[in-house]
Amino acid sequence: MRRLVATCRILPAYGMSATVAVPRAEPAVMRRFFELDLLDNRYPALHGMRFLAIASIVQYHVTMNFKYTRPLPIDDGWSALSLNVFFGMDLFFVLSGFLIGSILLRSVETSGTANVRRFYLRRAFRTFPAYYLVLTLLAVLLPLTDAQHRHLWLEYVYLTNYGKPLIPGQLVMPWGWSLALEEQFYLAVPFLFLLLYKFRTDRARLTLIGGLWIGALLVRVVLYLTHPGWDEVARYNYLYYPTHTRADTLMAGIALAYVQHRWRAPIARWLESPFSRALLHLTALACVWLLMQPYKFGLKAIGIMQVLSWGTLTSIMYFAWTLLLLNGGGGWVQRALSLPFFRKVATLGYGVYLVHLPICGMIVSRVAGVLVLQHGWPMPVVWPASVVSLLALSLVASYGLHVFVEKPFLRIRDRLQGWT
Amino acid sequence: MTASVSGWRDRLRGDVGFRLAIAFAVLVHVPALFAPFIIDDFAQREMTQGLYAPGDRGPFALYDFIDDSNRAALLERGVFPWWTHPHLVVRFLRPLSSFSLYLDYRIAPRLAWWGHLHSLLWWAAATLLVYAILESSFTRRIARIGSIVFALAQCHVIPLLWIANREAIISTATGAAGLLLYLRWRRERRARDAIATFAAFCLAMAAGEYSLCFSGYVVAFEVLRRRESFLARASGLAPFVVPAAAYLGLRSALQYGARGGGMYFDPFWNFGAFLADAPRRFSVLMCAAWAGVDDEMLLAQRWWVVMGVAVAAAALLTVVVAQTFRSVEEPVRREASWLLGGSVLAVVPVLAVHTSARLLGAAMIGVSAVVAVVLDRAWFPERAQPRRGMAELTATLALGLAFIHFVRAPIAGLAETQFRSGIGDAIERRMAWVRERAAGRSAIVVLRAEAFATALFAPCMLDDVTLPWRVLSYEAGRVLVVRSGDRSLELIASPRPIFQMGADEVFRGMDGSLHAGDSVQLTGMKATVLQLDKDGMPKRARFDFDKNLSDPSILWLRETAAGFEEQSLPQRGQGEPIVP
Repeated sequence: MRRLVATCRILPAYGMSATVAVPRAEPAVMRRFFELDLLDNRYPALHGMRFLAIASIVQYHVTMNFKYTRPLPIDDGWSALSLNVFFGMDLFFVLSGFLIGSILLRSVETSGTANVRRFYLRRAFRTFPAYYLVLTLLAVLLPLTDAQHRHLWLEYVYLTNYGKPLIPGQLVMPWGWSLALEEQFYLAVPFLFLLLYKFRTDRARLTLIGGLWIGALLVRVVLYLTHPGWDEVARYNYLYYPTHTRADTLMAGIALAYVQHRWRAPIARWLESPFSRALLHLTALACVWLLMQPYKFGLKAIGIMQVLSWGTLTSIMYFAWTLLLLNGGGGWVQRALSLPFFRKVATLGYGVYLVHLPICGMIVSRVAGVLVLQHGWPMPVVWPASVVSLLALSLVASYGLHVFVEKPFLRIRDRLQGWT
Repeated sequence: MTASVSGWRDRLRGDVGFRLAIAFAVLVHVPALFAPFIIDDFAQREMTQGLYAPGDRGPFALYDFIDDSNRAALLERGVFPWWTHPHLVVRFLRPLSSFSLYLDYRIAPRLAWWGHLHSLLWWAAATLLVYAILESSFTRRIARIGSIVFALAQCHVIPLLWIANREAIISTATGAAGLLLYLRWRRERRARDAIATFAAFCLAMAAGEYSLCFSGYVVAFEVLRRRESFLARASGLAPFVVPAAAYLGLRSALQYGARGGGMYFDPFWNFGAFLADAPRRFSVLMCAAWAGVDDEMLLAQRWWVVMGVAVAAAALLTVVVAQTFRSVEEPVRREASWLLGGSVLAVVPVLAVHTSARLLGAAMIGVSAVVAVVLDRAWFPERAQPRRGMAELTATLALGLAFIHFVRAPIAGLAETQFRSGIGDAIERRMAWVRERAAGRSAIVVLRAEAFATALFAPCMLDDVTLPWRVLSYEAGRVLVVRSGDRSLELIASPRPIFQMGADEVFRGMDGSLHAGDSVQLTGMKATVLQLDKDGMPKRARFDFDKNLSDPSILWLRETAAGFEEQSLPQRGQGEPIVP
C-alpha cells in the first residue's frame, strides 16, 4: 500500500491520471469499502463534543434501564446524578443547527438562494437508510403491542416525537423522537433561510433567529402555566419531545452558524482576551450548574426548572462552549476534544444512537442483571463496565451499518448529485 | 464589529460592568426581604414586648437568651425543652446589634421585611467598606472584582434572611470600617486616624464577638506587612487591642458566653472541647470560604473525608495562589499576603460556634482580595500568557475560583434563601394551625417534634405566655407511645434517640449527659429517662403528668414532615407508633 500511495503521489507530477496507476486495485477497493467515510474535519473539536454527547446519552440510558426497566439495585444518589446529565441530546441539536446552518449559509453565499432540492437529497440519503433499516428490523423481529402497530406509521413518517415516547409500549423506537425532531427541522430550515435573506441587515436577521429561539421558551412557558396539572410524564410528552417546544436548541445552532459566518475574525480576536473567554466559560458553567441540580430550588420549582432547562439553558451553554471551541478559545479542552479518535467515533455517532438502546435492553442490562443479582458484583463496577460495553458494542454495530448501509447510500447520493 | 466588541469589553471592564455586577448581587439578596421571622426572631420580639422571661430587659440585652435568671421560667413555659442542660447559658454581649433589633421591633414588630431591609443596608455598607479597603491596597479593578466576590458571598445569606443573625453583618461592616481606618493609621501614622480606628473598633466590639475576627487582619498586617520594630508594631496594634481586650474583659466580668450546650464551645469556659473540635471546624470553614464546599454537607462527613477535601482544596489553591503571587509585583504581593493571612486567622474566633458559612463575613474580606488578585492576573495579564503547562493550569484553576464565587455562590445563595424562607413559612403555618386549636387548653404536648423551631422558642409564636408547651421528643425516628398509666406514658424511640446530646446540639452537650434514672420535674410533668442506646442517648423515657391524660384540656400533637396532627393516646397498657 505504501508503494501504491507513493505511486499515486508521483503520478500527477507527470500529468497522468491517477486511475491509470493502480496496479493492485483489489486490496485498495476492499480497504476503501471497509474504511470509515470520516466526517468533515473543519472543526475537529466538535468531534470530541459529539463523543461527549454520545457518552452522556449512553450512560443516561444505562441508568434508566437499570433503574426503571430491569430494575437493578442502583444507588439513588448516583442514579439521580446520572439522569441529571440528560443534555447530551441537546448538544446534537445545537451541532445539527450549526452544521446545517453553515451549509445553507455557504450555499446562499455561493448560489444566491438556498439550493433546497440538493439539501433535501443530501439529508435524506444521509439519515433515512440506517433509520429505516433499524426501525424495520425492530418492527419485524420484536413482538409489537397493538399501540405500537397503530403508531408505527408515525415512526415511518418521522413523527415519533408526537407519539408520546415516554409511555412504554406506544412506539417501537421511542428514542427516534430526536431524529424525528431533526427531520422536521431539516424540512423547515431551508425556508427559514429563504425568509432570513429577505431581510437585509444583520440586526434584522439576528432578531428573527433570536425571536424563534425565545419563541420555543415562550411556548413552553405558556403550555406549562396553562396546564398546572401536568405530571412529569405529561411534561416530557408535551414540552420535551415536540418540535415546537424544543426548536430553540436548533435555532441556537443556526444563530451560532450565522454569528460565526459573519464575524469569525472579530470573534476570534475578542476571544484572545482571557477575560472574554472566562465570560463565555462562566456563562456555560452557570447553565451546567443549574442543569445538574434540577431540584436546587425545591420540588415545587421542578416544573419551571424543566421549562427553562429543556432548550434555553442547554442552548446557552452549548452556544458559549461551541463558540469557544470554534475559535480556538478552548485551551487544553479543545486540544483534548480534537484528538483524531473522536472523529472516528463521531462518524459512527448516528449509528450508535440508532442501535444502542436495543443492545442495552437485549444484551448489556441482561448481563448486568446476572452479574449483580446472581454473582453479587457491586454496582460501582457493573455500571461503568456496562456503559463502556454498551458504547463498544454500539460502535461495532454502528460500524456495520456505516459500511453496509450508510456508505453505499452516500455513494448513490453522490452520483445522483452529479446527475442533478 | 471590532470596534463594538472592543467597546463592550471596555464597558464591562469599567463602570457599567461593575455596576451591573453589584446590581446582580443586590438582586441575589433581595429575595431575603420576603423571608418570614425565624426562630430567635420571635423570642427577640417578645423581649422587646417584655413577654420573654424575666420581663422588661431594655434595648441592649436582646441576645441574652437563657441564663440562671430565666432558665427555670423558660423551661416551665416550654421555650426550651425539658432535656435542656440545667446550667445552660446562652447570652452574648452585642449591645449595638441588640439595639438595632430593638428599634426594628419597636417600629415594625410584625413586619419581617422591615428587619430584612435594615440588614440589607448593613450588607451594602459592608460591601462599600470592603471596596474601600481593597482600593486602598490594590488597583481599582482588583477592588471591584474583590468587592463583587464579597457581595455575592454565601456567608451573607443567613444573616440577611434571619434577622436575629444581623449581628454578623453589623460586626463585619463596623469591623471593616475599623480595618479601613487601621490601614490609614498604620500607613500615615496620624494620631487622629488612631483615634478614629479605636472608635470604629469600639463600635465593632459593641456589635458582637464576631468583630474579634478582625484580630486576624491586624495581626497579619503587623507580621507580614510592616517592617518596623516590635515595639512600633505592638503600639500600632493598640487601637484594636484596647477595645478588644475591654470587650473580652467586660464579657468575662458580666458572665456572657455559652455553656452547657453543644452548639458553642466557649474557649473561656471549656477550652478542651473548643480545641478538640477546632481542626474539623476550621477545615470546613476554610473549604466553604475558598472552595465553596457546602458547609452542612461537609460537616456531616467523617473526619477523614473532611480532612481529605480540605487538603485537596488547599493543594489546588496553593498552586493558583503561589503562581499568581510569583507573577505579580511586590507591592501587590505584600498586600495580598497579609489579607490572605488575615482571612485564615479570622476564622479562629468563630471556631467556638456551630460551624456555618454565616460566620465567614470577616474572613471573606481577605478571601475576596486574594481571589480578585488571582482573577485580575489571569484575566488581564500585562502580556499574553502561554496557553500551555503551568500557565494554563493556573488559568483553569482561576476559572474554577471564578465559578465558585461568581456562579456557585449566587445560585446556592438564592436556593438557600428560598429553602430557609420556605421552612420559615411552613413553621408559621404550623403554628397558626396550633393557635387555632389552643384556645381553652391547659397545655399543649408535642409527643414527637420534627422541626428545630418546634423544640426551641415555639411558645413565642403562640401569643399566649401562660400556655405550657411540652415537647417530649425531637428528631426521633419512629416513636412508640405506650400508655403506662392514667397519668403517665412512655416514649420508645428507634432507631434514633428521643433527643440528641453532644456536639452541635444546642440544648445539652455531652458534658451534662442524662443517664438512666435521671429525671426532670416541671410544673405538671415529670420526665424520667429509662434507657439509653449504645451511643448513650436516651432511647426510652417516662412522662408522669399531674392530670389524667384523657383530660380534654390537653392538646396532644405529633409533628411529621407534613406538619402537626392531633394525636389520640392509646388505651392504658397499650402502645401506638408514630411514624415520621
